[in-house]
This record gives sequence, C-alpha cells and structure tokens, in this order.
Amino acid sequence: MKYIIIMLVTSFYSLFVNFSIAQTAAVDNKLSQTITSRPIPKGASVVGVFEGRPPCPGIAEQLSIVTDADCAKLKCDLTFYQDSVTLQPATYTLSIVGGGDVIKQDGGSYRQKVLEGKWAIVKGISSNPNAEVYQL
Amino acid sequence: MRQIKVLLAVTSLAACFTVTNSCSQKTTPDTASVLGVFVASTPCSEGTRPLPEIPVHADCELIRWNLTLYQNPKTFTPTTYKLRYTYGLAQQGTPGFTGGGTTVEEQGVWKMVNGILSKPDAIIYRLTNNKTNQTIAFLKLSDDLLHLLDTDEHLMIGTAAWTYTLNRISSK
Repeated sequence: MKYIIIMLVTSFYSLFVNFSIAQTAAVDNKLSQTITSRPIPKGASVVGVFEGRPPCPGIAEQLSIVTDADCAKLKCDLTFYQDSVTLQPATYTLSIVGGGDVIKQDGGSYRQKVLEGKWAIVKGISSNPNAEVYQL
Repeated sequence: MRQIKVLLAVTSLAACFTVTNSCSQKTTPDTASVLGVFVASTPCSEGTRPLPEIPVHADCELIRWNLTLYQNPKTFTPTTYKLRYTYGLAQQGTPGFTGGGTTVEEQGVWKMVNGILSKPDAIIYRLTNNKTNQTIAFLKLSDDLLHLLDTDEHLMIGTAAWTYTLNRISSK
C-alpha cells in the first residue's frame, strides 16, 4: 500500500519535470576570460573593459575610419575610466582593429585606430526616456 | 484505498492537462503571420548551453541562431516559433564551423510576459519547446533586438567575439 502511494506520488510529480527552464543557469553567466598579450587595465579608476565585433560598414562610417573593402567586422576594445575618488565618468580608450591606420608587423600589416576622449552618462533615448546612455 | 483513488484522479487530471497543453501547441506555423526573423551568433561553453538539445559533452563554442516568431494574423498575439540553430567549434579565420557543425530544428509556442526583477516594465518573450517543454526567455530590447536571459532573468554576458543579442533580419 505504502509503495503504491509512493509510486503514484512520484509519477504525479514526474509529469511536471519537463516544465523546466532550459537557458543558462545564472551561476554560469559570467564574464568571459580573454587571452591577451597586453595587461587588462584594473583598479579603482577602471569602470570596465568591453569587447565586441561590430559589423564594419556602420561603425566605420560613424567614426570616419578607413577600412579595407573586404572588412566584415571590426575588433573593438573599449575601456571606461572614472575618477577614482568621486567615481564620476572620466576618460575612455577605444581601440579598433580592422580599420584606421595601416600598421606593419612581421612582414604583414593590419589596420588599427585608437580613439581617446571623455565620456558621460546621459539620460534617455526617444524610445526609452529612462535609459542610461554612455556618451563618448 | 480512498487515498489511491484521490491520487489517481489528480494524476489523471495532470496527465490531461499535459496532453491538452501539448496539443494546443500544434498551431500550424505556415498559416500564421511572421512577426519577425531574428539571427545571432552566440557563445556556447560547458556551462552556457541555453538550448536543451545540445548534449552536455558535445564540442560547442558557437551557436548560430535563426529564430522565426509567428503571430495570429488577426489578433497579432504570439502563436508559434521555429528555431533552427547550428552549433559546434568555430573554424578559425572563417565565419563557419569546423566540419559544418550540427544543425537542429525545433518548434514550439511563445508568449509575451511583462517584467523582470530589475525592470518591471520589461517585455519578455518566453519560448516553450514542443518536444521538451523547456523554456528560454529573451528580453525585448526593441522591435528589432532580443537579448537572451539566464535563469535569474539577467542579460547573458557575451564574449569578445559573440553576443547573445538576436538581430532582426529582412529579405532584400
């Protein structure tokens, strides 16, 4: 009798086992580790280092940088700095590989542009008045 | 004996619910309007396998997504989705996969729900796989951009090479 009840209860709950979430567990949603030949900036004055591969045409035109005709993606590395005491936005460095000046190296060459300047946090875009925008 | 009857009744009801739920997912995608087609190349690692049909120990560092969302053409409410994805190891220096990768097709239903902990007014697209009943969720960034969430409804963090943002595409 006891075993029948246990079996029925088990089969009842097993009906709901499949109603689960497939996506990545929050604990595994971590910053990726990157292999780099140069040290990644750290310390109180660094807000963060962000990397991405935006498609060439749009961003190259926006930043007025030269790219090769076969450029598909740019390799971007953006570092935000802040005042280490007030924690207010300060400067940024945007390194772009795939566009910009031709750099000769080891018999080959590649394009690179490094942009530096100030950044600020502004509020709102037309579709989202509460959005936080980092303006470089 | 009475307890067994009650349990049997509850179990049967649950079974009916499950069957009904599965049957209701068999909307014919072809007759529904297409809300949009979204694509992305996202990272994939041992810990980050958002899609249930990728085996735990399969070689996977990249997933290429092609997601079609359908809606009821009259009410514009969400109906079904089709997801075609290829996963595998990226072939260095090319946008492709080593050995072509493994392609999987799945379908199911999707719905729009409101709010996540950090953003109560957010719009979430929640997809439920017909076969596995497992769900994945995206934050709607705009009409053209969806971003995959983790189980705690945080935005998934991409890598230098790939991101979890799905972009709408259109035909020329």
